[in-house]
Amino acid sequence: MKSSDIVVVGGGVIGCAVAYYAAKRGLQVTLIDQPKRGRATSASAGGLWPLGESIGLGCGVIFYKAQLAKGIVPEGADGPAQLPRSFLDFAMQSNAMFPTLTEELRETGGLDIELERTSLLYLIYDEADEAFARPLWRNCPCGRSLSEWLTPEELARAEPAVTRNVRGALRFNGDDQVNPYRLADAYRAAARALGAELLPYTEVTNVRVEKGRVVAVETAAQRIRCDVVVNAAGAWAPQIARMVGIDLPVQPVRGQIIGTETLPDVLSSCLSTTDCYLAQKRHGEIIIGSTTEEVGFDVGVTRSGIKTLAAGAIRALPFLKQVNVKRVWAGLRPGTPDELPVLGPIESVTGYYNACGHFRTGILNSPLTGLLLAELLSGAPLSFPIEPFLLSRLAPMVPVERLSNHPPQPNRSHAVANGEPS
Amino acid sequence: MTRSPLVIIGGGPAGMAAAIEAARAGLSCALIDEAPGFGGQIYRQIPEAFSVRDASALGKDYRRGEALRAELREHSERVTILPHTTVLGLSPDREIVWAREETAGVIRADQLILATGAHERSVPFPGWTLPGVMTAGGAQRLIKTMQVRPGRRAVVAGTGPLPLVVANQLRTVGTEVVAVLEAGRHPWWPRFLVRAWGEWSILKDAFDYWLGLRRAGIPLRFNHTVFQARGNSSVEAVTYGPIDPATWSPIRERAQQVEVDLVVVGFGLVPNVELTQLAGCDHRYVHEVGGWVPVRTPQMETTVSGVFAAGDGAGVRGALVAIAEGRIAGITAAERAGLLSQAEAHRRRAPFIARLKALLRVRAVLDEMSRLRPGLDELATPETIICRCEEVALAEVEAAIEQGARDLQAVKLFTRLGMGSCQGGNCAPAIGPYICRATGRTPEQVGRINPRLPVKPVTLGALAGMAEIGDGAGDPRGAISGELVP
Amino acid sequence: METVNGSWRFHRAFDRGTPIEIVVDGQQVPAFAGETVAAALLAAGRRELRRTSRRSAPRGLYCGIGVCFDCVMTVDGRPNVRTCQIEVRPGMRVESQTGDGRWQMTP
Repeated sequence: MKSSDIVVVGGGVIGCAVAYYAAKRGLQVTLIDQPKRGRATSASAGGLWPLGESIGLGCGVIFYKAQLAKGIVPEGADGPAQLPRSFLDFAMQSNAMFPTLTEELRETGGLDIELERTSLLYLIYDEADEAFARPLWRNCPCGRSLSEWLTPEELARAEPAVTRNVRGALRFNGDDQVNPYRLADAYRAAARALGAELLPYTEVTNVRVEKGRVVAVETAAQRIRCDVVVNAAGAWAPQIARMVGIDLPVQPVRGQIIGTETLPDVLSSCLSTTDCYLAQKRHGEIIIGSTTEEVGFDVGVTRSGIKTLAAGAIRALPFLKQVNVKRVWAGLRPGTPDELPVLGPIESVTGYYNACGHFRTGILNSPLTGLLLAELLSGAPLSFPIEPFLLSRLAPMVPVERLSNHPPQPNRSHAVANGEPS
Repeated sequence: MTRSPLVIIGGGPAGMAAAIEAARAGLSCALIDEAPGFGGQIYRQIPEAFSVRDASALGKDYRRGEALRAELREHSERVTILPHTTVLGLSPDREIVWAREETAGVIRADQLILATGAHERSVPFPGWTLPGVMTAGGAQRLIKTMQVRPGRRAVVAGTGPLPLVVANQLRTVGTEVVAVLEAGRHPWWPRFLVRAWGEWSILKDAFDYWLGLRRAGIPLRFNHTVFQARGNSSVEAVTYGPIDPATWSPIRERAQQVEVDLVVVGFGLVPNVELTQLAGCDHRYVHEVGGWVPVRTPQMETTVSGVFAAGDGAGVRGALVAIAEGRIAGITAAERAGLLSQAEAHRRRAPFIARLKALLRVRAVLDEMSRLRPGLDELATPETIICRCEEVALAEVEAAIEQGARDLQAVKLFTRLGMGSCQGGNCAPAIGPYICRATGRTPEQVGRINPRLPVKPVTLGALAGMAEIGDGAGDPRGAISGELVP
Repeated sequence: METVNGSWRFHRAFDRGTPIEIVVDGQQVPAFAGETVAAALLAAGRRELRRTSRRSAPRGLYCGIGVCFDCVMTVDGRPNVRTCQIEVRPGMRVESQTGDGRWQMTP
């Protein structure tokens, strides 16, 4: 029988990051991966937007507007929900790891993750947008240094292709982007270079627990003896968790995304609006995202989803009207009730660790997640407190206190305007 | 019209034949095609601005196409034709998203016949991206519908009947054909003659092509193929030579080089199955008919009730088979709609089912001769571009496999192969079998690049303005007249 | 069959449409109504239609039926137009493009 110190289940960006950081600490790692349609890593835009995501930009503000359009307003809310300080701090620290990580991964595995310093611009179309943006700017959780208010003239100079029908923009410096698939590939290549073993196209059929301890992971072909299993199975993480007898409140949340034909350099920043976000990637295509829909494991794309995103993109960048869509696809974000990841050990089973529930920020939070898990597994002091992210926080399902005192969103179903089941 | 009893997608031989039979039985239908006219690739009409001077010079395929178009015209009161209309996608409940220039909308079909045809299979070899390397179908279209010579001096390479046909066409328009290279073996062997007996037209066609080359002194070399195209900004020379008769591996030591400005390649066709995939039909991999094809009943129905598939899009077997299949599908759709009794539908289908049986006997032998052998993989070197759009070289695909990629999707994410404008239409059918051989996995395991709405290019503007069913707008007839052109 | 000496066009089964002119990279090029841009360019002796973005490699007409996107050029200011699929119009401006071409992007 084969044996390994650690088995990581799931070969998306999180599983690959855990494998990389664990291998880097000299741990013996086996990474088991069964590619699934709709894995979130391959449907990500690759935005690293710690500030934007924490204050509800990106998908958050799109979702909020769509809810408003349907008459669903979270009580007392005057904008999209903000995430707690612990999330922001985690995300900022993870984001800060990217420059070094880029070099490390290039040296170790030979792949470039295409880190680009873009910043994120929130476009302010109307009064409501402005009312939302003003307090963000005044009370930016990271202080004024990272945010910047642009007048329409300044915006036109900075981003000439952006619509002139705009009151200005709020810029977040430090919110950048990478190539999400490349990031996963680079972690995996580097992990392998450091001795991690990869079992691709392998489905985990069971996690064996004896006397409250993980003893092995089983696949159709073999049993791998191990002391530790890391559940990094994304939207499919509850299936792995059930093998050790726990319920994981992770739900697939579909996001549809449009990729345009490749274009010359148009955008120097990533854009976030109440309709969509836009990011031009190194190869020239502009990625337009994203819907937020609870439709189970359905990875189809819908007419209404595409239509809403297309209209939103044209509103922000009018010349896109004549640009061809190259591809539309969808991914399943691993959503949690409080939108925070689920990390670390659980009480009932020794040797089982969560590294899942990253919702929309798996790419951004992969380095710190990988590092923390590696530290936990090797008994090293932790670079970031794990408590806010333990599964136990969700165990009795109490509403989690939020920075802005907004209650959690009551209803996450059918998110896009005119949302339809596919 | 945002609802139709029957929508037929693809106005080639199969689609036209389906529309004719459905209409003949009293079933109204809409016939959609991207092109301005109907006929598909093989029976393509000349542009509207051109006028026929000598119909006899347009060739046999044009006459066959004209005959079908004339038959279709007799039923024009029941056939709504929608030329210049692209189908972007459809759903298993038969809602079809269409686009024409900057407008898009949705039609719901009670029944659906997919007659989407096929496109040419790419076989990458060094230099195949140079201007002057052209597919057989592309060269043929220039000659037949544009009256433009694709080159002055050519080598034609590939397998099956199309390269022979094109070589003859090139010859008649004054292009010097240096050699015709057939990868397969000599067809004049007893099994072929026995099977083809009774299908005089096919035998005669084959003989005519052969005779045409022979009279012009053009060598037809069996078990030979192109090795490399050379040139700076376009083709200046080509290297070709013999291949192993069993494996088709190139025998490079016997290669020769000739100066040409045109290399025509025709290694068979690949069915366009994006729409049958989106419709949710089951598919299987049948190497001999081009790869992935929808599973069908003898009445041409797919595994999704009310969705039929006919012609090359359901397995490449040529125009004559496509017509028979289209007619069978059209009759069955009318039967389903309650316009034909079971007995009458059976009676109407019978001659076409018999015709299919006879044609498929011959076809099976041709398919066996032209079945691509794995040795063709060896033509590409590590530097050879596999994905023309994203300029991905074979070495990059090999690196992805070395990094653990075992299916098309993983290779795509790793290399960007198939992420370009053609959406993998060109490279996936070539690289899929390569990945199978490199990893020892089956076509099912290596999978496909999954199609999504929109399967054809469309602007964001058109999508943003897409009219939904019941919007009161979005009639695909728009400004189009109901006349078949010309 | 007639062929015009030295010309890529031949005359056989049909007559072309009205003679027109298009402008290719600033030069007048004769064409006939009904022809595709790719056919008119080939008839003008032009093989290379564009250069790729990654390797700056020459590309021309390959599949000829709208599948491969190799024959794309900038037509009337719009890059990436498949020249095998679009018919010539009088005065049409056609430009070769390198990589992704140049777009009119400012609103």
